[in-house]
Amino acid sequence: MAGSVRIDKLGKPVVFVVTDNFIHDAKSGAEDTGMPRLRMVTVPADEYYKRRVSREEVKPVAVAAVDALIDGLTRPLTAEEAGTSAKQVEMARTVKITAESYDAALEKFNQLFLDNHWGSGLPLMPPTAERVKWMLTGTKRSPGEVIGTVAPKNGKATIEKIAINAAMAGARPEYMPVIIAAMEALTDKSYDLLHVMASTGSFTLQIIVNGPIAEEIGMNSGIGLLGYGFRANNTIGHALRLSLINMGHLWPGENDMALLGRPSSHTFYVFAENERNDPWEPYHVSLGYKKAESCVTVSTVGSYSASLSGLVAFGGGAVFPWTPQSLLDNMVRTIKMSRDMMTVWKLGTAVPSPGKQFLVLHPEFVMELNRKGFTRKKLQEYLYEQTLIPYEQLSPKEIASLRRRLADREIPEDRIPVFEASLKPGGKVPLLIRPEHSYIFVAGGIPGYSFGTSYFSTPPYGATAVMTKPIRDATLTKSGR
Amino acid sequence: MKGKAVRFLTAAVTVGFFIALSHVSPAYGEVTLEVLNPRGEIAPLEVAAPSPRLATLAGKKVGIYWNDKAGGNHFWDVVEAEMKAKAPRTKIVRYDGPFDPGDARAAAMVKEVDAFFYGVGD
Repeated sequence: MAGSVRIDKLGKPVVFVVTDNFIHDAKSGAEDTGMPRLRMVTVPADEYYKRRVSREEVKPVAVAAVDALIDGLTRPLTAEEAGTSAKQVEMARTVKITAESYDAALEKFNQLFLDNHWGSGLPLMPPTAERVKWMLTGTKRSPGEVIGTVAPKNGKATIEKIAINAAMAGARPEYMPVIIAAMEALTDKSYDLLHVMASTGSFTLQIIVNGPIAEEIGMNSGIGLLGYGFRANNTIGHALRLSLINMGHLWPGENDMALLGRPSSHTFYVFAENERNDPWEPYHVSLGYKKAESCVTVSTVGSYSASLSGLVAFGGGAVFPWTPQSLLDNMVRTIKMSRDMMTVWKLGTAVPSPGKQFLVLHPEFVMELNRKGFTRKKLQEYLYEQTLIPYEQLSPKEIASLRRRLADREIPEDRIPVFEASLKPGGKVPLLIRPEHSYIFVAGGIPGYSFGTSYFSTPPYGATAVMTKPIRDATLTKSGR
Repeated sequence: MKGKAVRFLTAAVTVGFFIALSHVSPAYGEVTLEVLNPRGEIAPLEVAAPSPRLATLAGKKVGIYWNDKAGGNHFWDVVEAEMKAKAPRTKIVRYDGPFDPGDARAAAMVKEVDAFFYGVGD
């Protein structure tokens, strides 16, 4: 959308073509980019997607659209279209709900918030002034502080608004510094929040907490780490989901076009690293933070199937015997599946770049790796090496695609010599841009499973989709202050 | 003395009644929840109107911009062919690239054509 508006603003008329099921999303995007009355032509979604497989199949859809396309470029703008008035949105600070009993008022509140698209579909706690004030006791931050804006509609994220949404989610005040740090990552200007919020691909978020605050607030990092039953994990995730809905002004089928919706869409994947059972240094220490510091790492990850970068269990567990090598082999095999996309990767498109791997290894596996001399860094190097593809095995199309990515400077500057050297007989082409693109965490119980997800190293609309922020300004915990 | 006390008591009860009345819910037994608005405020955005339309496409160049999303090329191939039939004096110029071509590419493209069809595949 931004591209079409950019061009129209340069003085050349544009007609934006969109399927009818995406028209709300397109209009919303046009509004967000400052041209709410951009001319659009729709084609029927129930015909377009299934017929675009070939020119012959899609012909009736395209032929039917041509008159409207010509009309869109030649019919003079109406007075309304030529206007520059913006939609005024009045926002009341408080909302009063009256009913014959508390139970009835609670029900009415929940229905009203859902009707307004202010809820998530799960029951909410009423964010009364008293409850929000209580929530704010968990942080030293000023309620009016703006930490950023939230895509797609760029609503302001203030500490108070985060507290309101955390109150609705049923969070406790001591979780606030974690929720705020995660929101700071998501609203960072370099984080591609738009893609995970709106893409048809149903991407989701993984939020991992490191440092002593995790234990202090009772976060689960063991058996059932992705599951229910842990107030900190579950309500931190729900507070983030509600914050993204309400500050991004997001709604499914309107401007969140995730076609399947995402697993764990109400709470995302929120857990702590299992530092007690981790023979390696905690993840945040590997980034240069002190062990006594607490951090949150947020990343966008795929949802479904290995080939679509979704969650894959590499092995472990209590059913089938496993060895460290069998797990390593499965990790390598999974990463190698991304080779299918090698000829498709193109920056700025829906499939922009090779993946970063987010590998969550269960403690027993890491203990065994540690005995074998693996460190986090050595494992990163191992995965990088094992997924190199010998030049002689590349197809001409894969070679051409790699050469185009090099010519278009889609490979990071410092890695260009490595890729250029690999594109000759005897060379080996990396599937991971660099060894550090395997992000390795230790979590899960004993026994446990190791699992992984992945996501584009360079996302479609931003510079990155993985970010660590320190947790600070806590008032109710010993750590995170 | 007794009359004075009765008058004082009556006045006190009357004042107390009205104070209490002012604190009673709109209707007896009703509960009111006052909650804070969870929505993030959106800063007003400057609105631009679309560019004026062309009087005719005859003799003009129309760019077709497509973001390489699979299958969209087939759709635009047919549109290009139909345009040649319906508007033979219009030249079509095909472009492809990312969702957003960015400032530099957009500035270059607008120098080459008079109008655009823009499709991203959804």
